[in-house]
Amino acid sequence: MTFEIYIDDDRYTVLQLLFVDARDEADAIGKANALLRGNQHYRSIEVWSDEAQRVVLQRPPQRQRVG
Amino acid sequence: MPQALFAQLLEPVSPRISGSRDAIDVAESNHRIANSLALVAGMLRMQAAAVRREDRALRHDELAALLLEAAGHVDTIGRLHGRLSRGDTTFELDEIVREVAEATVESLAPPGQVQLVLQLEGNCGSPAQQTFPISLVVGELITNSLKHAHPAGVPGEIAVSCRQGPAGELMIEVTDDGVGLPEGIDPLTSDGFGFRLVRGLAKQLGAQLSFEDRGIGLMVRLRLPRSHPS
Repeated sequence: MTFEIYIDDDRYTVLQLLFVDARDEADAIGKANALLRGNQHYRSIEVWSDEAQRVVLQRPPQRQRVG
Repeated sequence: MPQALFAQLLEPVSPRISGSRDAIDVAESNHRIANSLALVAGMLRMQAAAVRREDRALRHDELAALLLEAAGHVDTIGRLHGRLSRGDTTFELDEIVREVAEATVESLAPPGQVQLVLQLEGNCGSPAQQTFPISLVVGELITNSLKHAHPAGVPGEIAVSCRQGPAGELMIEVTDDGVGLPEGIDPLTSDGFGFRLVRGLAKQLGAQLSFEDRGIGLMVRLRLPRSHPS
């Protein structure tokens, strides 16, 4: 499955977009978490698929389920 | 995502390389390039998945067209990084949109097949981070028109406009004179590569995306708030 990941980076005014392949939603969220933990500039990351927001990850890492 | 590219995105931009401003600039440039390459890789992977869903084998000319489309996106990103390398931080959208539109038509359409009509206002400065997705949207919408507007192969027209709205917002429209949307296809939910890409880029921009099937022709509008240079 391909997920859309939107990254809020404190250096930019526009979100960063990535298309990420993942086995399932949990795998996609794991990859997004790794991105968030791995870059000090990333404030939050949204994971989307099928036109629906699946999760928002924020720094400090916490999950806010949507839907 | 390939591991090396993923690792690059994880790499924090920090002064630890040497502590100098130049080193930070280089690190940030590399981070932007890594972002762009990651986006391109994801687009190619999504395109590959779309091809895999086809219920028939593609012909050589169709495969060649897909590769040319991908090359067009890479060209667009390369062109913008080239401008960044010259120190530009704000781009004139009329120049960029013109370059992307002309290059896309030249790359994908037989000579004389498409008349490109450009209505591009000046004074539409756009920060670099906004210009990347705008350029990709314009290229993809023109590509979509070139591929689908005139299935019978008759010559057609594609109009591209860029102007500032009354509230300072940017309005970008791509209009063709073709057959419109296929029956049963909703561009706001379709999982086709082009629509999905354009929707993702519009969301990235915080922009409104609308499709207007005019019976004869399709108009796609991207409406985005003015942004301050990043």
